[in-house]
Amino acid sequence: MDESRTDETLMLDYRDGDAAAFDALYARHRRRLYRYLLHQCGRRELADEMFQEIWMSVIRIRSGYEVSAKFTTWLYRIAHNRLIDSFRARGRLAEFEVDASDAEGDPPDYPAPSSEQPERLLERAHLAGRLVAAVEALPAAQREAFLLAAEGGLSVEEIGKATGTGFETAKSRLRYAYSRLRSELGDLR
Amino acid sequence: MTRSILPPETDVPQSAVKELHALFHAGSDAEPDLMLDQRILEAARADLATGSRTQTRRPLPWWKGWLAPASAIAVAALGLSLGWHVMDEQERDRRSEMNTAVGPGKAVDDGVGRAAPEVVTTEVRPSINLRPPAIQRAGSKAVQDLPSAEQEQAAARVARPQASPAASLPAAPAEVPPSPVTEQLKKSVSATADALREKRESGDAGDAASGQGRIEAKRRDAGSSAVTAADLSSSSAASPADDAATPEAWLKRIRELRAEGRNAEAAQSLARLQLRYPDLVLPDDLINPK
Repeated sequence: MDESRTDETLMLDYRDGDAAAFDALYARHRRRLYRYLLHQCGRRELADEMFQEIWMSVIRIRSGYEVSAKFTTWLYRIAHNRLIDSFRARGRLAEFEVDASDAEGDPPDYPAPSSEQPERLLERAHLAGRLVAAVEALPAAQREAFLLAAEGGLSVEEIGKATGTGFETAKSRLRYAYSRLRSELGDLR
Repeated sequence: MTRSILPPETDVPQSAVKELHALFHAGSDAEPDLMLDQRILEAARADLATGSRTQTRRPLPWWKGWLAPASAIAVAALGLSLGWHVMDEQERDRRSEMNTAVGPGKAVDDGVGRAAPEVVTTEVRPSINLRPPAIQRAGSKAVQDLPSAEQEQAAARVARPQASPAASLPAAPAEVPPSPVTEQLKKSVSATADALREKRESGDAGDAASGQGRIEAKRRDAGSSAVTAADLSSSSAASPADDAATPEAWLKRIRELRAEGRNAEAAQSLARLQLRYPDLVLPDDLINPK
């Protein structure tokens, strides 16, 4: 039943007193949001804390909620703000500072994936582990862009809105992120 | 729900993007623990049960809706009153000057069709020197229209004080002191003009700063300049320079804008604030009526 309702509808229903709507909304986004936070901050206890704060914000806003943007953009905007606050509190805001992707121009010409050998594709678990490690090694801004796309399912434009940057910056960060990840995983096409 | 795929703007092959996402999900199975889930779901239900104690938008009291029209009416009434005062004062000054300048005379017309009193007096107020040229011309013309004997008498009355006011008047002041009402009006007008000038100047400065902010944002968005930590933390790529870095300072700035009567700018700034901090609970005084 809830599959037929959009995120925005669920949130509006919750606003109007439907507790089950919140359950459905939460179930829909809990894993993705949590992974986004965990991969960005790198510490489980911190991710737990932020995760709870974000959902509490959603609950607090309930009575005044109006659809002003796509729910995921709105949700990840709140999450982005929490992350920035957390980075600032820990004196790590510099990690969000300039990275190569914010400069003009194309990403470096990383070598293309080397092969499509089936036997290599069987090593998905191993590859996935490498990918996660590669994602965590990305500069914070690029990592965030990738996570918003991969976990939040946000488009480039929505990533720009969620992070408060423009379309071009978001696009550039995403291109760099993908380019680096593909380079790290040369096995992957 | 299907996972959305990165749009083609990134120039990355869709197959690679899909594969990357799928692999990433396969390798990243972290999720919140059940206790955390429970706390959040309970909080959501508790909020529904207790009602909205923490409303972000409460309706304004009914009387607040009348504040703006009442203010507008008051301002209009004040303006009309001031205007009437000024006109009345000018009219009284003019009549007074006419009476003293032309002097009472049965055939002397004061320029508005009213005949002056017949009683001739030698008393001349020193304010005769302050008569505007137009009144002097009117007086001269009226004198020309009189019969010759009366012309001489009237001409003498008009000319006497101009020739030597001090001769006939003991210790007369050089100028008539302006009335208190006129002084008040002058001060008021002067203060208003100063305030308007300052406002215009500050507005110009604000516009310039805002324009500069837009240029900076455009340049940054185009990727031609570096993004700083402050930029990221305030997410001000599309915000004018007047938006502050912290919500508290931002709210203060909005209040200042409203206090200055720059309601449109305040509303825009408030919209940007809500976009930047979607979970911010707005204070009552900044909540707009619906």
